[in-house]
Amino acid sequence: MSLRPDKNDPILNHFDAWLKTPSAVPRKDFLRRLKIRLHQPAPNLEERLDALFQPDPRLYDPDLPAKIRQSLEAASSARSARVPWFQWAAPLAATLILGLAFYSFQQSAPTPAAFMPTAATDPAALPAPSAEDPELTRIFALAANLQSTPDMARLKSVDDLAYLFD
Amino acid sequence: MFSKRMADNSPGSTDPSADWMLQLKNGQESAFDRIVERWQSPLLNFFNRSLRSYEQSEDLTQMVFIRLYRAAPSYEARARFSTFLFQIARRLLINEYRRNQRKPLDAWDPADFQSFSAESTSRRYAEIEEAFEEVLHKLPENQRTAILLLKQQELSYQEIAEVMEASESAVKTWIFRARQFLKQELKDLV
Repeated sequence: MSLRPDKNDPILNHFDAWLKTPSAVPRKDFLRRLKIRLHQPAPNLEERLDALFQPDPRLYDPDLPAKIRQSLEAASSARSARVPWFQWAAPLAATLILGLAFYSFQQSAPTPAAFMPTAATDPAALPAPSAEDPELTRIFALAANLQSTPDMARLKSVDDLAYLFD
Repeated sequence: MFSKRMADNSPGSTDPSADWMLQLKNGQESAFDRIVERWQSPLLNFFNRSLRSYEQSEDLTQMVFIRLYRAAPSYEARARFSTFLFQIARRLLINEYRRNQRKPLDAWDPADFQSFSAESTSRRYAEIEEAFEEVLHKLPENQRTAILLLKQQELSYQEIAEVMEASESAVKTWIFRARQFLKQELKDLV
């Protein structure tokens, strides 16, 4: 990035010259005033904090404690007026709600269903064997015969099971 | 011209202000007077061009020296003194800009400026100066500070980069953009 083309720009040259021209002259007692400021003791941190927490006189209200007391008393009397009926009404309402909830639960609970054979043991539920595959037809026929636990109980060993598929 | 460019960038023996600062560190109070004498005008003019308020500029100049004085016990001449000084100045200037943003700006009376400015020989010249002042203040803070440090304080790009805690290429970009903007804004004056 070159600044060279600006070298011949008269207005920019004029501007540069203007920037270099002193725009302000220090006062003669600059150093003296600087030293006064320099040797001024810096405010103590605790004093600064105290100043920060000083109450603002513009915000002072001499009646504020009385107003606070009054509003507290008003709130307290309103609360005590509510207490007598609430003391017996609250447990009664809770009992009612709990009772209704229990009754509703009892009504909606399902009745125990009778024993039903599982879908797997229902021959109708078994998929139809493919007529083109005799092996599959045989397996499905054997599986259909194993209908209940007595059949399963007859299987004493792996050989028995193998026999079925022989 | 406010500052004299040093031949090399190493602080210490080639940088008298750094030597004075080390003397101040060793307890020689008179070294502080020399530093103030040397730098009060460059600082005051830097602030005055930036803020357009003599009172604020003088206040900030004093604050720079106060910070400098308090920093003396831990001072180490790692960089050029002017870099160290203008780093403090720029931080104070940014704080001042922020403070000014929070309160309504005082109306600027060109007459105040005139009382401290160089002799204006004609009404036309005064108008041009006023236009320069206005255009300078239209620049963003980083561009204005960069161009003041380059042209007014004659700091190198590397020094400006250190003062402004930016890269040298960023400083070059700011100055290029500032000059393009100035050219555009000032072309009607020609």
